[in-house]
Amino acid sequence: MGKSISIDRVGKTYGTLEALSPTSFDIAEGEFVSIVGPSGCGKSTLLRLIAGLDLASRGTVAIAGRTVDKPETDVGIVFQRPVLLDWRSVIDNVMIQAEARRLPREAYLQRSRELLKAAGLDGFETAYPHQLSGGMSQRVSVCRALVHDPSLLLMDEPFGALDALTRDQMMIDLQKLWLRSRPTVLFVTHSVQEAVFLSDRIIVMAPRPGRVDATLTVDLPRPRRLAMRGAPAFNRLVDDILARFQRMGVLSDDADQTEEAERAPVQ
Amino acid sequence: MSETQTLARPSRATEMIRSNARALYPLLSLLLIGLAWQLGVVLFEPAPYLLPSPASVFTVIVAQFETLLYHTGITAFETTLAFLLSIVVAVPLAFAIARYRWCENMVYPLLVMSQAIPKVALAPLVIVWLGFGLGTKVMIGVLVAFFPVVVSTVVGLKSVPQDMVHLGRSMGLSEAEIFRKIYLPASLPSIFGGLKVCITLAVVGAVVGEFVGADRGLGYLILLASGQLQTALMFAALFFLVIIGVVSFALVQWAERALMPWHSSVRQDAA
Ligand SMILES: Nc1ncnc2c1ncn2[C@@H]1O[C@H](COP(=O)(O)OP(=O)(O)OP(=O)(O)O)[C@@H](O)[C@H]1O
Ligand SMILES: [Mg+2]
Repeated sequence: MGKSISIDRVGKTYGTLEALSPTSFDIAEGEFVSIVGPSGCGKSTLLRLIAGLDLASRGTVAIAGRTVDKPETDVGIVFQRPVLLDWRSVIDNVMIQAEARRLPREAYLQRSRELLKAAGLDGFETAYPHQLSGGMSQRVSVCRALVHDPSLLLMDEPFGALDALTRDQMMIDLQKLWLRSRPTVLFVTHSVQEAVFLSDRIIVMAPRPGRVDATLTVDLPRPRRLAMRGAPAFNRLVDDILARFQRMGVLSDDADQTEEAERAPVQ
Repeated sequence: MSETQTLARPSRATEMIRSNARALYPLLSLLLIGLAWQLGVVLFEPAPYLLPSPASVFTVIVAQFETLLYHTGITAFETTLAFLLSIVVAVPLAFAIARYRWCENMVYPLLVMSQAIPKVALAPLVIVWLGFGLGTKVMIGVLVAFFPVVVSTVVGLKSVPQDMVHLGRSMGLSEAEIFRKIYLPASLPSIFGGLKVCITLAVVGAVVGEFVGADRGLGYLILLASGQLQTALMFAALFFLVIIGVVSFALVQWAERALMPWHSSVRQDAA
């Protein structure tokens, strides 16, 4: 079961640049929350602050009621880039989690293999990162984040480098895994569809300075099926978020439907 | 599955033939130079103390093989010690510089400035301090050779991606483990870049040490032969010096291949 996250007026400045203006929100235990927002609005920064890998300039982050002041370790992180260790084979890249946490080797070797297989990396266990494509590397890094069953998952565009088909498959698999062990998930994505499909709630962020523009609840039954993406309730949410981006000025339609979007109902 | 295909390596036999063929080219050019040299000596008949023929150098090598081997051993030993000591000094120093800002601010500029001093000029001073023994040659070797290792190790450590260190922290690795499992392997390619320069400079340092004060080693032999105008012997000593240089460099390269087969500087496919 996941841990709750509480973010209280957290802000981050790099020198004179305000990467994240004071932001507050709470995430319940075992909730799946997505963050969508234009490039440079502070999504990765926010994840780093929650993981305790970077110190907030102001405000506090608390996980399960405890203030974060050092790197969180009961966590699985998928970084925006795959960050594989070049000198380790694929399986050893996943196994470093078990090694670092001193978990029983045999059991986790078995689990690593299963995860890699589910990610379509069957037969690549002994390959080295330089032998993988970008998408394959990203899948390895997803496996590495999942192998130790963390109660908190921080994923920064984990499916960014994948083709549409693999992306759909990974989405389904992630939902299945989440339904089974219910970690708390914070999922950064550029794909609004992906966010709506996976999340309980979606945080829409606006740029310059980075801040939360809106929080939307996704009230669709689970488990969600791919076909659901055509449903009216699904599309309403997608359109709503896109309309928000249009208003921010980060998305402009050729036919310029901004006026129309502004009149659309907001949940 | 087509993806497995890319993992297949060229067969061992083809690989060996290819690498042997590559080794033949420099040998061929050496042979040509030797021939031209011999031809020049036969045609123009220079005084033997100015330019001995390759054949007479070869005769000296055969006649004085044991002496040459003895002095080669001495110089090789000094080189090895200087190389190893350079690593022992340079790598921890580089870690301190990369890790602690105050160390970088205090030590690095001094180190860079110290490189402006021609190390050869320090040799007489080292003799005053350490005498005429092995210590002097090793010390001069280290002075000449350790700096590139410091620089390349610092560069390597500083270019380890931030996310990689974050990954280690999020897994609960201790500082020592992050160093051992992330910083060290990630900067190994850079370190080896420095070690390759270091090993060639270590030979230079050892010979310089022998020039200023020694009663053995190839540097000493070259001076001795020069004093007696035994030019053929000088060439023979130079020949063995080249062998030390080439073999020691090859050893470092071999260690590089053995330690990091994953790196692009080593891989066949990235050549
Ligand atoms: N280490 C850093 N030093 C200085 N500025 C930084 C640093 N990290 C991020 N920034 C700045 O903070 C802002 C937010 O960056 P961040 O990486 O969080 O954006 P993002 O929302 O993840 O963008 P993207 O979707 O492109 O990944 C950017 O303007 C960036 O230039
Ligand atoms: Mg980002």
